[in-house]
Amino acid sequence: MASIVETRELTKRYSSVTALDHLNLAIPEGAIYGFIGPNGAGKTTTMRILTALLKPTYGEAWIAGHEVTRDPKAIRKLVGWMPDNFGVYDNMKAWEYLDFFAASYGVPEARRKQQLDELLALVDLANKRDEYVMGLSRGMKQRLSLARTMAHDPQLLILDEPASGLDPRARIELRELLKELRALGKTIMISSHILTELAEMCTHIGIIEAGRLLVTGEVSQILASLQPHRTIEVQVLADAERAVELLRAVPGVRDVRLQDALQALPQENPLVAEDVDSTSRLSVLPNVLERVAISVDFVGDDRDLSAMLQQLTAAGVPVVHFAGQVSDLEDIFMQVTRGVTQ
Amino acid sequence: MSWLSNANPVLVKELRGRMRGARAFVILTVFLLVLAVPTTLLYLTVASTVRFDQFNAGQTIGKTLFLGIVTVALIQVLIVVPGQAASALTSEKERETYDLLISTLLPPWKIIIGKLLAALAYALLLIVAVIPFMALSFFFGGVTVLEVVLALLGLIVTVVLFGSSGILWSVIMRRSLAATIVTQATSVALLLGVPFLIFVAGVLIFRDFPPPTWTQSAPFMYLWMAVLSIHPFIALGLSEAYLSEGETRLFFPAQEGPVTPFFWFGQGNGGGDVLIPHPWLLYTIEASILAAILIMLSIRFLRPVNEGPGRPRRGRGATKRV
Repeated sequence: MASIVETRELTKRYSSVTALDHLNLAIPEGAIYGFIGPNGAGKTTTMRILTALLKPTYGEAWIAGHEVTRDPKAIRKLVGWMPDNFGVYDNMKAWEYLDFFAASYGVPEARRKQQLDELLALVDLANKRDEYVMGLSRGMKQRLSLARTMAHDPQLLILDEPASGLDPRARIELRELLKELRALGKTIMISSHILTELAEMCTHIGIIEAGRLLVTGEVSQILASLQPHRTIEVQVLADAERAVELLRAVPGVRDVRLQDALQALPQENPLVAEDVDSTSRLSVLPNVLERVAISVDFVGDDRDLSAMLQQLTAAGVPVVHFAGQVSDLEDIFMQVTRGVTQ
Repeated sequence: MSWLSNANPVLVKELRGRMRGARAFVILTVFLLVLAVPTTLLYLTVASTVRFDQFNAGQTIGKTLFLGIVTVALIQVLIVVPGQAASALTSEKERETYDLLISTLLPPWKIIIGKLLAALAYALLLIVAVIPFMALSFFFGGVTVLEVVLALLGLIVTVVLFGSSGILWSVIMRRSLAATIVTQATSVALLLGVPFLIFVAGVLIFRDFPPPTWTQSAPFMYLWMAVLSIHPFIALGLSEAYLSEGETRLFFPAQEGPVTPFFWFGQGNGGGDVLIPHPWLLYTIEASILAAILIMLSIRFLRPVNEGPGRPRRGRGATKRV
């Protein structure tokens, strides 16, 4: 897949602070690229360079073949940018806000009129057309801001923390909207701290820390490359000690860790576990608390895995759960970053 | 307003923003009230001192009212307009819309001109509101149409100059309050500092009588007139004085010789040696040039990318590609 965004040795220094350090980034066309990093990692700096608002100290960045510092006008046509704050104009209605930005991007008046209603419908704000922007909720403002980024029909959307400060419903709506935009052929670069959200929609990610890009690529490939072995979670009702001994003897098993009962609460129902205190947990989930969880690091194939389960059941160990643990973005993030900030 | 929106979206946005809500009308009302009170007091004062059996009593009242109205209006627009212009860009920064604005396809000059014209449009509204007050002078006579036109021109040129100053500070500063203070300080520096410097220079240059011969040369006369005409009140006051003397020509002849007192050029009675431009003309030219410089500086400083050009350098990256 061709890259719509590419940076080469992109570096930005503010006197003694290096905000970006030889950043080499490639975002394929049509991707949703999650740009992840702690505060001060250099995400916003990168995004501001890509929107031609900031010049790099050295290095180069291209968007659809245009170098950002040499051709900022072309870049602005190609990019729709949403900063991490929502700027509001006093005394401006939702349609006027979009119309102003569309006109500022040179969209002809005839097209603006038609496009305005389409954009408001796309972000589900058609009924707020004549409302003042100041009066909209934060979620609505974010959606309106997203509509603004689309005002000139750009190929690439650069969204800096678009979900920050939104309630869960607004976040879900935003996520669905971004998926819809991708379906319309847009490439989306998005930064966020909420990794679980990014995991659900991103095709590619880049993790940045202290101005350095630590890892970049397709989510699935990164997961595979960062996980040298599979981790299997086994839950038993009794005989946990014996199960551990049996598992250690299985070929391909690298490590076996016994976990306590509370940690074995089922992941598929986390709300129940979080919403009740430890006393009520006992009464609400008595059967679950009898389980003991065992984590197994394993390098064999599926045949060996099947044999492992057979051995446990053949030995009379009461197995109630046997599944591979799925790593997510949080695991990757914690694995590759070291908590370094500028 | 659609054609205007196509031509300059910033101007349309600003006009909408300014004219919505009570603020614009409150300022206009206060402006007219502040104008009405001294005008009334001035009328009562002059009317009580003038003998109505005199031949030119009406003219005296008319002229006095006219000068009073123009002066008060000039002071008011000098307070209102730079203050409004000073928040033109800082308000964008405070609302965090500045980056959004400059990352559009609008060229910097269009943003600056849009902001300036919006401030000037409001100033124009204030100036137009002054016209009925000026019309009062006509009831009494003593004021010519040329004087009214030149007074309006002077007001417009003044708001362009001081509005441009406000826009420049608005581009440079981050906060509206700071920009407004610096803009007003600039206005005060020009309005009080220039007369002070002229006075000091005048005292130093013209302390001997007769003054040095070089002060009686044509180049010095041009230069001195140019310096005097940089100040709106001095330029418009001198213009009014010359008009009252019956001097309506753009360039009028002055006799080469001592400038006495140091702000008054002796007229040549048709046979002068040097052609001197009328002060209002000089002021218009000087203020326009100064405003153009301020606008160009604003455009220059508005550019989002104002750092040095990026220099590509080869080196090893830290990226781990997967």
